[in-house]
Amino acid sequence: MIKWLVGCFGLLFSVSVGAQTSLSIPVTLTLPTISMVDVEPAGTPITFTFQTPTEAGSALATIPANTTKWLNFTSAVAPNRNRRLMIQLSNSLPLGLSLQVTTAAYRGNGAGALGTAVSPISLTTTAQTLIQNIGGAFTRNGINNGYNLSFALQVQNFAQLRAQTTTITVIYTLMDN
Amino acid sequence: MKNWLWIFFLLPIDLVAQANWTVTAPSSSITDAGNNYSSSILESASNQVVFSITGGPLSNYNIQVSRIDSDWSNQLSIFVRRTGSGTSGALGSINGGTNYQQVNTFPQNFINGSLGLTGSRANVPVQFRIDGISVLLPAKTYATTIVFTLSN
Repeated sequence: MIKWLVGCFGLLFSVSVGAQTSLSIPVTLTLPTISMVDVEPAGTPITFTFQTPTEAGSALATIPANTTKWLNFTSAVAPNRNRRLMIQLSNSLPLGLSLQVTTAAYRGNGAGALGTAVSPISLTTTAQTLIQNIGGAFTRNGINNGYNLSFALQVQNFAQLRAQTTTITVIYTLMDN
Repeated sequence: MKNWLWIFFLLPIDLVAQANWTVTAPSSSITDAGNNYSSSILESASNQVVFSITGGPLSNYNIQVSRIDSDWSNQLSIFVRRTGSGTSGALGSINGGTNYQQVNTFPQNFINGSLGLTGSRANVPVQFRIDGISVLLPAKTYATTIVFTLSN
């Protein structure tokens, strides 16, 4: 009987003791730098064609600017860093012509440090800043998101023009500052 | 008589696990320029941590959870839940913790129960989740420590 009582007393003690111990689990999350840029709609090249004048003595008619292209990008940057988006041509324009890009203000429902446009720019084979001060940001994807680009091909020097077809690629590069 | 008392009085409780969680946000989930991560949520394996509790027979136990930040962002939230009950002897029980609960910098109750006649509960699987993944956050490594505190 005495042993039984002692056993019960011991059980009561065992559940009332205030011991405590801890377990620590380290958690690390890495968010990588990300740099992605494209132009929408994709796969549809811009074609500029000067029409032959219908009347002798007339100048070449001005070609309407092309405003179909939208610049989309995603950018994740290290702390206290930002980027710029550069633009350049793959090869020189035919003599006598210039290609100018005018960039509209950002539009869409993206978020973050979306930067500001430098506009207009006369394009060459040298990279120039098109959007500056880009931080962590995403423009959203597709047309009507991002920066709308307006390309205008203009005659600079009629005397230098030659009948020809030339293909030029516009190159965009997101670059860390 | 004294021997019985000391045996039960000195029985420690213990919480054992060997694990951590190291994860990188999947940039491959951004399939097209202009998009953010396809999901703002990262989830660990369902048994990322498997812990065991030992103590005195029929001891009640209570586990609280909190976090200690080393380099964390208030834009990131971390959650924890248990995905199973583990095993225990007769009269053992485990309550709570089956739904994700946010881990804060102050202790909050996570699970509790009784260790049963064997004085132990083994192999309780625990899963973590981080919410708030975004390219808008600075790209770097964030670190915190989840602390489980066992008491009875």
